Amino acid sequence: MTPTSSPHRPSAEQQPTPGSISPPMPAVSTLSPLLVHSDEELLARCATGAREALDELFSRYRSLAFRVAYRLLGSEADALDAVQEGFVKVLTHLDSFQGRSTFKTWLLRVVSNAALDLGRQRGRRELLSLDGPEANDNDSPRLMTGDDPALGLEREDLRHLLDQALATLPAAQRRTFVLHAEAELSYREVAEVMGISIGTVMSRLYYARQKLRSHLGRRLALNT
Amino acid sequence: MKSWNAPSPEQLAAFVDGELDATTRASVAVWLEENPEAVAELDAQRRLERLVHASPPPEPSEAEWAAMLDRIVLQTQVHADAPKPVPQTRRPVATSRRLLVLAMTAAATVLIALSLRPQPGPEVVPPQPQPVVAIKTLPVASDEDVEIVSVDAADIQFLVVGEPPMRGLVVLAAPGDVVLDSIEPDPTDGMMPKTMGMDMNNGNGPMIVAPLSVASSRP
Repeated sequence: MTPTSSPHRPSAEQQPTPGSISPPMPAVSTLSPLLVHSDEELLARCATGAREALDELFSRYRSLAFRVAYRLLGSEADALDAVQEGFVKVLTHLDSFQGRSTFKTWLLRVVSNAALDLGRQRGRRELLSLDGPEANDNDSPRLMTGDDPALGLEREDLRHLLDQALATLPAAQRRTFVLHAEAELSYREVAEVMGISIGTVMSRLYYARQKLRSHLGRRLALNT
Repeated sequence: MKSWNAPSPEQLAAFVDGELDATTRASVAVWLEENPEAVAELDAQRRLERLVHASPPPEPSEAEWAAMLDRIVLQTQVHADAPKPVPQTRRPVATSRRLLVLAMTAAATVLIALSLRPQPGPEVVPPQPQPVVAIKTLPVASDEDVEIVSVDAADIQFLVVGEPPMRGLVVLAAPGDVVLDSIEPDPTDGMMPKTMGMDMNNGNGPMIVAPLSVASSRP
């Protein structure tokens, strides 16, 4: 039995995929609003120094790259550094982009590598062990509904719990899970980004989920 | 009787993720109908996915994004403007090229003038001595330079104690320092060592290779 090779999964934030129609961008882009530019077109224009193409690419993928970096690092400031480093590396090595992968997977490969390098340098686990709510805290409130005024605090609490749980995973499992669950990459895309087989992706995802469920414990059971 | 073998946990997860092909997906669906207790496992996976989406990372502000974009543009421009890995700037390179052309022109002029002069006959030029390879010295730590703080019990048998085998710097012999008078066969097995690399002038020191037979090899 083999997994399918769906090229893209729908994103929770409807992140525009290469070649898809993008929502109107902020005023930073001077490209024609009526034309949809593919990533490849934007990359070609970036190579000629076109600033508006860079702005468009940045707006298109900045949030996705940040979410991945944040999940890998658990720190907003470090995630911003990783995203910046990733974009700089990609833009300064445009000539090495062969087009065998999509720009999205190429960027996520570079950003996630940068994030893991930063994490190793800055001691991610030490950061996350500071003053966070415990995962198995029986007194911690359960996930609220969208009508609850405490939703913001609850989300922050949940996010911290998830950060702590992710920090317990080995780097390879964490990266696999984040690329799939947060970046919503297909198994095939995750395999492409990490340079591993789809079977390895499936195995890492399974063990990552088992560990996350074990760490999140009762809190996850309440989150229905 | 079950219609299908039990899927692996990874395959069940792929079922939830929508990553199975149609045939396999249908088979797993049938299996799940026959094994409803496995549905709880799939629900737990779905809850984990929901938790991930219910706790999104904080979104940086537009000001933060704009500042980052400015830094990216600045850094990529720095990379683009960075000089190529050439040790000199453009102007000195041009100057050195002019000097090189002048020197080559002068040398060619001298050679032509010399070739036009009557030759007095072949002149034997004594071979010039090759520069001796720089003698390297290896610094050796003295017993006063080393302080043994602790030694693992397993390493005690390897600890060398007593007087240091040598003091001061180790001076390596240059090729010119070695004179090979004669080679004699090994008295234990009668085998004649072979010599290699006897070209002293090229900096190759003599290497003496003594082939060992199994019977004569010692531990």
